[in-house]
Amino acid sequence: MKKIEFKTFTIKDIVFLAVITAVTLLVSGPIAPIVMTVTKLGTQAFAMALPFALFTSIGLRKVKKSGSLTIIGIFSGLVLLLMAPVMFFNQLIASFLSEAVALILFKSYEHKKAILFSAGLFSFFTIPTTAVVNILVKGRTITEQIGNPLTFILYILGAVVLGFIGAAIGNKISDELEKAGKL
Amino acid sequence: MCKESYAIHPILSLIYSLLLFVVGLLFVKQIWFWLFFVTFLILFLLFRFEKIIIKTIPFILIFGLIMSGLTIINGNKSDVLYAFYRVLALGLAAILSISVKPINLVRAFNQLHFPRWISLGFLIVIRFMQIFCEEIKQIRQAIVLRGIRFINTPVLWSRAFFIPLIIRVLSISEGLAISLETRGFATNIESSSYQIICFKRRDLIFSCLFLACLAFYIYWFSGGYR
Repeated sequence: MKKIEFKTFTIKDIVFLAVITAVTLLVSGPIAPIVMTVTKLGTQAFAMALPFALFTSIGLRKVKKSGSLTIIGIFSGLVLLLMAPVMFFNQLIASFLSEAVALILFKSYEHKKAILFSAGLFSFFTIPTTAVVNILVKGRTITEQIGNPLTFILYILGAVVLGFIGAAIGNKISDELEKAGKL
Repeated sequence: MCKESYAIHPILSLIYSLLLFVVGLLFVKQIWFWLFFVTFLILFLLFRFEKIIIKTIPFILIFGLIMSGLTIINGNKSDVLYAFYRVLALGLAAILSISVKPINLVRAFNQLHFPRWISLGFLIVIRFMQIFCEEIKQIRQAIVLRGIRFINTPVLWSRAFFIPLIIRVLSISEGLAISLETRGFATNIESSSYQIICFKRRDLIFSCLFLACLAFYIYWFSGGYR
């Protein structure tokens, strides 16, 4: 049975992952403040799904090492720590869970589906963390956070679908760059 | 050598920011929330945070009004007030964290023996957000000059935006990686700091006052003064 391999990250890998994180945060920047304080669960994940999945999938296509998404999560979390401290844990846990699921299923990022899964589910996995944070910090019950169940389901489905669309677009861009010999 | 400055120790600032954020959100529904807000605002003013406070006021007001405006749609008067208070709590915590200079935070991380790749990556993200802001502006100007409109041709617009952006990401990161490697940067070696971030008497006084205020409000919140 194939095992999950962990390779050492070089300076080149770290730099690329940091730069791609900077671009991700920049592109999602205009949307983030609007949804940051919305109390309905899933709104943030839905709004962030597309840009995060798109850029992280490109990052994972370039650095196909186990742990790459968690590193992106740490970097983006550290920057968001300066704006909303709780976002650090949100990003870190979501990236770790998303990466763990993809690696358990596919063992490595050599398979494009692994990248699609890992990047596509990144935003979705921020939902449980946000729910826990809201319960602990804001004292809001799950039913309060969910509100209308139909809207909540639509938000979750939207986050997953937009995540996969973003990851697919990212993969498509990466394919073109690979053909051109740039990636 | 320790550099004299008015800034609070970066790690302390981050920890207190987190604490303030958490308790601030907890206290949002209390009638004395404004008193909590004013107390910490005075504390920050005493410790020379006035410039950061002035800088954050427009953001707090704009986002506060947007959030309150959005809450009006399906909330009552108290919900609107709580939405505004939430933004105030966020702003209060942000004052402390915004005051942290990224380079000082990295130095503090290094002193605490944080892995080198974390501090290096963090610095790159902060630095390159400004650089890519300019890059994005240039790419968008080029798109406008070519007469491509997102509303008319979204696919073409996306191609014209994302491909050049990713190409720039690749070339910049390639150049930066080579530049770092030639300067002897590596992820597995111990680093030294050009400047030492010390824990000063000012940090101690701030910590005592901050924690005393926080303890008072937590006691009040838990029903201590009923």
